[in-house]
Amino acid sequence: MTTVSSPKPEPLAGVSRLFAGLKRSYSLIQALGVLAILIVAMQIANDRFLSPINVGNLLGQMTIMLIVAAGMTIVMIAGELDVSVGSVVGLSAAVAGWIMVRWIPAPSANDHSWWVIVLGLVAPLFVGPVLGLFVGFIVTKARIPSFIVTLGMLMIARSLTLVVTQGQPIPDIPQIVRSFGQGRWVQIPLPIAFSDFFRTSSFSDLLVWFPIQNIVWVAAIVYAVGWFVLDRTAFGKRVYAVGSNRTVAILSGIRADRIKIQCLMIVGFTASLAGLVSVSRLGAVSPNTGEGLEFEVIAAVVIGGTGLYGGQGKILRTIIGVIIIALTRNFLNLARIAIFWQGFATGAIILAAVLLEALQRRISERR
Amino acid sequence: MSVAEERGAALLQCRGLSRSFAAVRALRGVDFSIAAGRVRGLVGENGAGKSTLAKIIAGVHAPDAGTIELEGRPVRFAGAERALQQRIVTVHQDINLVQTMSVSENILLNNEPTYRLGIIRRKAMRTAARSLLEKYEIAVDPDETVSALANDIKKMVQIVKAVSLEPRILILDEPTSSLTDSQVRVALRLIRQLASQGVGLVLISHYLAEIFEVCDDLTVMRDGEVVADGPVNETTLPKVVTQMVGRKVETSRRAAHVRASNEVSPLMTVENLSLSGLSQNVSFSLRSGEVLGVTGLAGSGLRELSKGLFGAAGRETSGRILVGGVPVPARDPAASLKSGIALLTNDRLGEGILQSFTLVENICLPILSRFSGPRGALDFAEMKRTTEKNIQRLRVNAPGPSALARQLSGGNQQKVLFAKWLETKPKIFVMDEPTIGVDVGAKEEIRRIIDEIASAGVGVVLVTTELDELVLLCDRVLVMFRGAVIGELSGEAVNRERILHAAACGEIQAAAA
Repeated sequence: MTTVSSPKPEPLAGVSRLFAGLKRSYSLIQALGVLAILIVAMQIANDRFLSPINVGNLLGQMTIMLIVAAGMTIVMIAGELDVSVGSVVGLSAAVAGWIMVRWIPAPSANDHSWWVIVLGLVAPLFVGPVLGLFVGFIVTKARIPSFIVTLGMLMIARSLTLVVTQGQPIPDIPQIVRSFGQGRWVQIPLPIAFSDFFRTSSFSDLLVWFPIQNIVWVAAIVYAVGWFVLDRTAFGKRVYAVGSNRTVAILSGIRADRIKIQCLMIVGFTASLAGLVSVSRLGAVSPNTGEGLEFEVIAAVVIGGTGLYGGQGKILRTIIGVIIIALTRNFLNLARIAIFWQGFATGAIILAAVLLEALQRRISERR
Repeated sequence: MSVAEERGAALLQCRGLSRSFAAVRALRGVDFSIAAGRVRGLVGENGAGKSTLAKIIAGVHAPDAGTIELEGRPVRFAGAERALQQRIVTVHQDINLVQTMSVSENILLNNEPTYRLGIIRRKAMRTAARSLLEKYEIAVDPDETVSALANDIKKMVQIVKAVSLEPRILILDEPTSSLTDSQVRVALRLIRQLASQGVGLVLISHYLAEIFEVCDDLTVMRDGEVVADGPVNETTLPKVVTQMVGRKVETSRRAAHVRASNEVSPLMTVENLSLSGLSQNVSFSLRSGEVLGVTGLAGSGLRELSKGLFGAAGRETSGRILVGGVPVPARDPAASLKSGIALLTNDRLGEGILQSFTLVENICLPILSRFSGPRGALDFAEMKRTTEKNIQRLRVNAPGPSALARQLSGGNQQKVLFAKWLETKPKIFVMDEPTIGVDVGAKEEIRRIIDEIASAGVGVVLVTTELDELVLLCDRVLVMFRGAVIGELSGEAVNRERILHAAACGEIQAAAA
């Protein structure tokens, strides 16, 4: 090592810092590039892809996965895994539906007591954290891998969902809840009007004032908070440290078990929130809400570059992972490719993403 | 030269090797040769390029420029396996054994005696392992699981594993850094034994006395260049030290011992501390400004005791630790930290440094709450300033505070860990082998820092097997033997002979003070 340790102010400090920043976010830029290529390719293959209707569908379908994937990223950085999220989404939705509709039957869908609605929106948010606390205790005190414990919870929570719903859908969610979940209150400009753009070649025509679903803002808030917590707070640093090397973390005075329990509660919270979002979006609860969600979410997190071994990963990159999975599924739908092939495509993308990551690591190690 | 050629023709000859990592030029035109039947010492400060050179010879790195000739034929290794095929074997500084496997499985890993179809001949394997262990006098059961062994035994198993590959060239990277004096003897004898069988050896070590004892030739490196090269008997130890550091350093310096007055109540009191790994309860007290040495042979309970003082020795720990008269909650490292205890463990890679984290993150990890603002946001600017201050104070050789820990050499990583614990502003600093794997210059600096913090009123528990360190720094020394503290040496009794005798024989000599 012949480098100098003294931090001398350089004349081009700003430029070199910008350059260093770009270099550090190189993989992010690369992921965004892959995403852009994917979008352009899909648009070329099918010109309905970026139509306002399809973009709206895409965003709506993505939201639930997005919210859960945020929590999953945190728990995976902490070196744990939660495969119960799909069932927790279902159970939270069922609890919300039961409180709002079945508990005290209202004369009509527009005639609920306000406190029932409030309770129906608040109580389900405790479902995931409570189950997460339970799972966390078993994982940390009995030293059982979280994969196994949450596998058990996956079945327990799904069964409870069936108990709460009695295996029947719960329709007639209060209008006020539905109107939020199905509403599009804010418009933002999106560059998706390709047909207009190709006609006029004017970039101003590329933009469409697009009404974004309210639930997408919920996901946006989740990621803003998630990013802040992971990147800017002491808790976030501790999560990375615990996931990277538990012993080092413990010897640094970090209560590693507590951090892991908190992370499992956080992922539970995001699952519950996603359950509520699903209730308000669909205006009904289906007993199989969230089924199979867990592996899509884990796949999205992995495609986003968060490793399975903990200690590394970026929450904002998870968004890219979610988009890639959602895009693929949407594209296959649009192209009228049989639903049977969707798992094949998603699986292939996961393998490709993981291979790419491994390849890059080898190249950077050789450097 | 002609004599050398007769006795040991150059087995391996490197010319003009250069290698850079990012902006760091680790090697600049290095010539190096290894002769059959001779031991070549390779010394230099941390970051001088020793490890890089060894890794190039072992095929781990490819050189940017320069040639390597093996028995006169130019070679270029594409990967460590190729070098291994030529029977160029390295014993790495870090213990890389499969912890969950037995000793014999490790020794013969990938080299197992098999029947057809690859079915392992278990009996033959055990016999082969046993005979190797016996040949080199290592008292360990071949069926023992590696994770259950003490560090030093693991090291010996690692060396035996390398020897079992029948190397032509054997590179030993700091083989003795985790060994006790008596095990060093065994290792050095083993090295001479291998040389007499015609193996060409390279010994990388910070322990110059060993180098002079066992080596035929010596290469001294500094800043990626060879600064001296020749037979050992044509140079002297002080000369080599000067060549290594490029300036004159005092090789020993009596520390100004802080005499804590007797009336001051003890800073820390340990009462009947009992934990797995100790055969007897431990009690002692520590005064502010005192450096208390704890020593013994490897495996005598030093590691366990140091962990126990920090509440990190597992569930079976019992007994009381009081800091300033207040009991510290048991078995809780976080509480120990809050009470003002810091622990530097001797396992830098496994328990100390986070390789993929920046220096800022490594140093600020235990004190993150100090940088948390009112809304929970961390003050990154302040964290960076704290790190920079420490980088300068401890003279860490690093590209900057945002560098990743893995970019640093081992010695500089150790300094980073030192900074990490000093920043917790400890009242009591428990350090387990603080100068392990650290070069001469850095050793001096770290010892000076230990002296400094003791003078500032911190109570230091210095757990070490290095006699010089004990003699140099400690006011009192507790000696451990087979899991028990067998006594205390203080004043004039703190000298190499007395400590060594007590540690090796398990008794304090009659005239003990």
